Amino acid sequence: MKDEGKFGVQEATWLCAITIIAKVLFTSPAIVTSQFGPAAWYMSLISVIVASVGFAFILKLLKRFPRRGLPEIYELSIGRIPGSVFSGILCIFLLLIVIQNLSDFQEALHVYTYHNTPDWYTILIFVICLAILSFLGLETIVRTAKLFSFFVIAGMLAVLLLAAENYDITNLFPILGYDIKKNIMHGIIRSSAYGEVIILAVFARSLQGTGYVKKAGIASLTISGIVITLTLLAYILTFPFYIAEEVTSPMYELSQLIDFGRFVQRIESVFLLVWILVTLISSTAIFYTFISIYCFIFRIDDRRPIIIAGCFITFAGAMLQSNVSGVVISGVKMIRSLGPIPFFIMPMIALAVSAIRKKKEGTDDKA
Amino acid sequence: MIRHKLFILFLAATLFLLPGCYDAQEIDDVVHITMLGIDKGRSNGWRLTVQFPTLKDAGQSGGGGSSGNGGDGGGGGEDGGYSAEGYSVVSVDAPSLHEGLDMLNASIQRRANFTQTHVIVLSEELASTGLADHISQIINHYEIRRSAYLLLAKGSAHDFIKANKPFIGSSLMKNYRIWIEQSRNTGYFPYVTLGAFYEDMVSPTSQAIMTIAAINDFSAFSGDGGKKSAENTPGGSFKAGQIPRIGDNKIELWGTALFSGDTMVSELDGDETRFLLMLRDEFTAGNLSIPAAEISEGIISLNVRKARSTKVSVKIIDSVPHVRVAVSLKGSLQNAQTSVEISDEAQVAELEKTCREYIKDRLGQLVEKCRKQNTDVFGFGDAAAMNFLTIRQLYDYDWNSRFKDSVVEVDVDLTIQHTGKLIKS
Repeated sequence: MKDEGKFGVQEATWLCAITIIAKVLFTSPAIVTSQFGPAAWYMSLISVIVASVGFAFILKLLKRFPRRGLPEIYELSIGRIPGSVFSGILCIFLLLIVIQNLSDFQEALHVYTYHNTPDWYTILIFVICLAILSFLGLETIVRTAKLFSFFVIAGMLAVLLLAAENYDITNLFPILGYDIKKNIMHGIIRSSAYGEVIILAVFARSLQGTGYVKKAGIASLTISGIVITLTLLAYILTFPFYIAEEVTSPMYELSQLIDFGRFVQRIESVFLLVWILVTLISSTAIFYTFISIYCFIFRIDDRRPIIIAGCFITFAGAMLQSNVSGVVISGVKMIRSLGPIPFFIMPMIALAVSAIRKKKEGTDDKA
Repeated sequence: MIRHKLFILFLAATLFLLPGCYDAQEIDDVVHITMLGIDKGRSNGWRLTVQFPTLKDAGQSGGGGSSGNGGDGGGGGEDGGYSAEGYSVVSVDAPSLHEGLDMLNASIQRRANFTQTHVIVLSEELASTGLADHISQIINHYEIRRSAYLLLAKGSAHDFIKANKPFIGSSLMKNYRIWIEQSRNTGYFPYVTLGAFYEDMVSPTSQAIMTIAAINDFSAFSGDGGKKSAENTPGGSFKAGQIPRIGDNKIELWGTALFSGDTMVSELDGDETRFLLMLRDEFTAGNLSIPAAEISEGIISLNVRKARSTKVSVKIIDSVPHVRVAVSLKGSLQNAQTSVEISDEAQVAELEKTCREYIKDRLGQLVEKCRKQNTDVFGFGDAAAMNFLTIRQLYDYDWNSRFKDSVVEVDVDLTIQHTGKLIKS
């Protein structure tokens, strides 16, 4: 796999955390609330715990093949063709997530701010930014993520704190939501919401060892788990469950409700900046991972034509989403329910096969 | 090197794409609607009325605004006119909110923008037949915020908006904001936003309320020749539009409309509204007149403030909801010290008891009134949700139909902590 350059644990942590956090800004919280009701906020904790278990298996796999990226490991553990199929499935899934993120972002932007701007225009500008960042490479992307991480986290926490005057503790009840058994099952399946942690495994070579991947993975899952849980909690405290499930962009609505007299109000435009930054970093990280895996599968050295082609596919895919029900119901639900397969189950299969076939490449001192 | 220059040139070129020219709006191209009124239409389903600044000096605006009825257009502050003090009013009958707004644009000469709409007024006629469709359309509008204030106009929203002129200063928007926030200083009307009303309207555990707005024709103000009432009447006992007053401003906010689902079922006067707010934990402060035979004026004048948050606990025993409410208040005595000896602890304790029992009694009467109408406007059902583990159980219990069977126990804690500036006179 091509050398992507080197970066540290902090950069990797923030890239991964922001990529995971992004979904809370779109329609996801409304869907989560429609499934869990007032229980949505703590179901997110179940999801992050399950995702951590899944990540532990990924780490075990990485330890067997130190200083190798996940696509390489698939080929080494289960063979070239099956390995490429696994990588291909992950690759397609990542592309679907980018398209979904972009459609979701465009739809929310259209609903709340840019009503007259054509869809193609918003998506095109975003895809151009995606292409530029991808041309500049992974190191640039991770450093951009770290650079903006402070503004992103500070912006999101500011919204949650300033919206506190609207919180109502009775909105947390009935505490079990719709049905506890269903909740736990969905909570496990929705672990795929944290599945982007797999990006660390794909670029494990750049992180100089499994130990660093482990640190970055745990830190990013912890940060994103806290932020997503707090955001869902704030959202449910603000809107009762029967309202929460019908709002297009909960975080944006939350920021619209901030009102401290005549001087501190209508501050959602500040939040808009955070929203755009998070979406850009998140989409770029996933898109670049898709390009990287694709180039590895087909042994392509020059990524630039693939980036351009990938951008065309992303643009076309995002334009194909015909309406909000297509975006909200079909897209997000499909990605969340199928997500555990490429993110956690496939690495587990690879680990099992490599153990059975006794495939191993020494040990990693830093692990 | 050339490639780098080309790349920088490309980046610079993309800047031209960023300003979002499709949604760009010149400040002169839009007119910000400050108040939106909705009535039942005569020639169509909806009658929309909007009020907006004419972007002229107040002195120039007479007759300059959009005129809805020809000759009336040059009102310049006169009653019946559609323009006054730098503001104008336009009405249209339309089949829906969104199409109506398009139709309004045809006569306003600017694009109507609702991002600064602070107040939405709905007519009593509309409220008595159901607001669900109207509220859903309003809340779904991309420019209207959930934080907009919601008023229910006695009579028509159109007349109310027409009667609404800048009374102090020239900014209606600022006036609205300060005016509605008076709810926190007097408690005579609630502070209800579009979002809050919508939540309660669709809630399985509570019912909605709305602030009542009315035009006062000053007929209750009897003037010098009128008869003087034999005894003092509490100020809060009046209903909206009937306050005995006279002045330049004809409109007033007063009292509360009670809803069952999306339909208005009853109205509360000023004092009842205060007691409602106490039970909803939304009361901040107000001056209360409490009848008391033991003092010479016949009324205890008490400035009441919230001491601690109202506590509500609900237990369901044999399917019957048992509600306990604890209201905690503190008061400042406003009476002349000739009638009350505040250094006499026994007399103060007696006054406290009188006040406490009066408030408790009025709270009980209010709960009874709402219970008979089966409309839980207090949010007891929200507290009752803690009794249910799942949403299915909550829906199966059907709080809104069971409220009439509830047993409500109200407890009032009131301490007279302060006096006026004189401790002896």
